[in-house]
Amino acid sequence: MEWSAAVLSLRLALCSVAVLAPLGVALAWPLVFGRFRGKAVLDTLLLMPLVLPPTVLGFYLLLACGPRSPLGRVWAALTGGTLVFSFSGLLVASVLLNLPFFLQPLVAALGGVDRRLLEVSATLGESRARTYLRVSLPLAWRGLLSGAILAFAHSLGEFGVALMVGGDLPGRTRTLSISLFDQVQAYDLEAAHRTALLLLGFAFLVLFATAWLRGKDHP
Amino acid sequence: MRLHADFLKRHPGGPSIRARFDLDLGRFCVTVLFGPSGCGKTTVLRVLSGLERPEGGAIRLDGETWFQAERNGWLDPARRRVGHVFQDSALFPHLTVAENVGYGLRTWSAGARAARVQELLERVGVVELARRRPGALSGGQKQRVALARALAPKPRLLLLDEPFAALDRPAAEQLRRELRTLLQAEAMPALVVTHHRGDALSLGDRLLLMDQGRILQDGRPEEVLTGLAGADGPGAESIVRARCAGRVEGLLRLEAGSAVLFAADPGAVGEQAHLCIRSEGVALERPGSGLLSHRNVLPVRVLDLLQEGALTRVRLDGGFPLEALLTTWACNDLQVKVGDSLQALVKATAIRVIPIHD
Repeated sequence: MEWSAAVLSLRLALCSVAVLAPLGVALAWPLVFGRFRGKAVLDTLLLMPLVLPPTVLGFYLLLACGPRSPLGRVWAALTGGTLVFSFSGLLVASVLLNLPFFLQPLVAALGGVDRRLLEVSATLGESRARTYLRVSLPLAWRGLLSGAILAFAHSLGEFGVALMVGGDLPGRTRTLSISLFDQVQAYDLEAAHRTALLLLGFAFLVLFATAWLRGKDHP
Repeated sequence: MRLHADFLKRHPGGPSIRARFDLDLGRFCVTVLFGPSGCGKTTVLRVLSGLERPEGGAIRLDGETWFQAERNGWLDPARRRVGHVFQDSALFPHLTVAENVGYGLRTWSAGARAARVQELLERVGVVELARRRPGALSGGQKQRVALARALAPKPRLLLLDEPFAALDRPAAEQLRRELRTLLQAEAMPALVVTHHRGDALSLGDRLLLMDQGRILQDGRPEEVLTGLAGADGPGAESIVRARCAGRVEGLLRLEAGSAVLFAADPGAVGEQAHLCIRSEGVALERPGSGLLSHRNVLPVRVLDLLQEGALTRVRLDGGFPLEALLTTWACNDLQVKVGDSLQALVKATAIRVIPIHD
């Protein structure tokens, strides 16, 4: 088994959640409380990665991040490297792909917070932004955690987008799933078994942790 | 400081509300907004605290505009400095009692905040619960904490929406007895929504009578509520403020105007009380006929007769305005006429005594 692939997958999953947490918390606000034109379109766009084949997203990201694209040029000017076939590119793809997994439970939990608590906060002199931080988010912590766990687990097994955007560079963009694919291709079934078992173990642990958290709240 | 409100609020599924009133916020005064369920009382409160936006009119506090329809004027609820106590407390479940009370004091220094929280916890009598979460409190305790939380930032006006409705009766009575004292100690002008006569009479200095989205009357609670048909019987109640002058044979001796009445003691009656006398409990007789079971015999003069089918409403002067509800048959037998001098008999058990706590 390739330990570098396991380390890379774990790193990708952790970094994805680290980027998703502030981004998701900021994006969830307008989705829950905003009333603006085009909200339905934004809602739909943010849900797209749930139903879109990862290869399709990967294809467009490849075009958008390529060295001759505007984004690719800005990136090259800033960092001197390319976005595609690099860990950064992989991270961008992973964040976009996992945004709905992170947002869905968070938005649902925020929407479930008693409206009157927000009203009380307003009559006690707090702005909407502060109310969001002091009341909504603490009361929606379970949604926040569920989202983070789902996004973590999902980005850990990343395959389609990673292959399209990152290629299959050992140690740089070869994730566990891609490694598994390579092992099967090479008929190294023993290594494939170990990789698959590792991913299976991760998936079980994540779901078990989520169930345990839920059980803790509703004894 | 004068709060001037004159606004129109359309409400889906309810009557449209057209409210017009002034509140003096410069001095302590408890105003009761009284009316049946669904008449729009709660919406009036929500409009005042800025939780709902009316469609027309204006709300102003001295020179400060809270709402103005024409120039799109609007002051955010967070900047109105109006406390709002909801029917079912709405405490923040993730914060302790002390944190709930201190919620509105974020900009205060830590020392001042702690002192203010402590002061209010003591005032509402929940000091020992400071570290508890709302989930571990009884209904009455929750409402006390909600009250302390709303009072903590020293708002300019406190709005209370049916503050006792979610409590069982003993807890409600207990809190009602303390509420006025508490508001007075904080010198806090308050507007209390209720559909309960007892609440209105024992708390209010002034009463706004509301029905179908309109404010119909504005006056002292006993004046407005006298003659208003009750929900639980055909007759209205005569309400009079009385002085309690001791106890006789387990009954209260009460002086109302020039009359002396006896009534059953509901407990906790101080020096002042309101008497609510149901019109069905008032009988009339020609003077000079035998003994009676009634403890209250008042000489009265007939002011007015109003026949309503088989029943006749007789307005009387018995030292205070009193109303009797008789069968028209009995009225005819007695040959009651306007100007007659009769005796009114009131059963001591027909008088409800509501303590006034000053």
